[in-house]
Amino acid sequence: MNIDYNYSGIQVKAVFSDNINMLYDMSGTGKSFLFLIIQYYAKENGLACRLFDYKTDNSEQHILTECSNADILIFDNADLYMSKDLLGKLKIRCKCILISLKDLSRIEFGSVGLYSILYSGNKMEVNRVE
Amino acid sequence: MSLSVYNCKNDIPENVQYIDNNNLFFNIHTDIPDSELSREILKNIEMAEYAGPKKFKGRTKEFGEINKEYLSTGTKTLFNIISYPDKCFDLVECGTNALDFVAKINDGHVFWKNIIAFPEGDESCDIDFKGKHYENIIEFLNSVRYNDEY
Repeated sequence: MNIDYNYSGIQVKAVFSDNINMLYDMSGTGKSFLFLIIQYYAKENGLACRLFDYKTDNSEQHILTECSNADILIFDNADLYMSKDLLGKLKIRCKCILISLKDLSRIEFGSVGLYSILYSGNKMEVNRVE
Repeated sequence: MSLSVYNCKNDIPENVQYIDNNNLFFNIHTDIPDSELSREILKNIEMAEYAGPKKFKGRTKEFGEINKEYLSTGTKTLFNIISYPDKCFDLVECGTNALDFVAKINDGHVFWKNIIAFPEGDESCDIDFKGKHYENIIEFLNSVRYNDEY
């Protein structure tokens, strides 16, 4: 997914090239804000996007139900509800998964892309770091 | 008063409520504290300024004052701990920069499963952990590592 998008004066550039794209970063770097912007981007570009965060029902059953036919799945603050097993099920159902996680040791992953946000002035750039 | 740290949920006293959804709790119950520490947290983590109990001025000045709900989870967790010292808050959603501020809090309860931090500057703390009191954060972190290894 290649994003070059202006949200209310903020220029966002991101290339997510993995099946699972993990944002692993410090607090306050704009991960949740980025996910909000991606939702708007998806809507404007006809992409089906599902966001799971602290406000949503994050039971495994609900997540699997909601992810059908989704072009993009976003899991914000996934430490509280994501597991290796669930992620394995999601991998085969959706080509583009974005996930923010603080504690990588809790979950074993296969090949995932690690991404970091550089937020400077009115520009937000997402770079693949590993 | 000290900050009580637990890395095992069974160690949390029964009369202390455990909270893991810091976002939800903050949005419903917590205002942005007006203190030197909270202003430091806003500045260092959010690149923001205090604008009131429910607002802050973020890094994008054109947005003006922003509702507190848009603070990062790490910052919300710290403000929860400061505002509700009788409850135990899970630090799992705190980034490393937010964890560095935990040592500056000297009252409350936190569940810190994987105790790792890289404090800079002032090494003082006021922490109780497994029956022992610590006044130096490096000593506390080394003690945790020693206990984990043996």
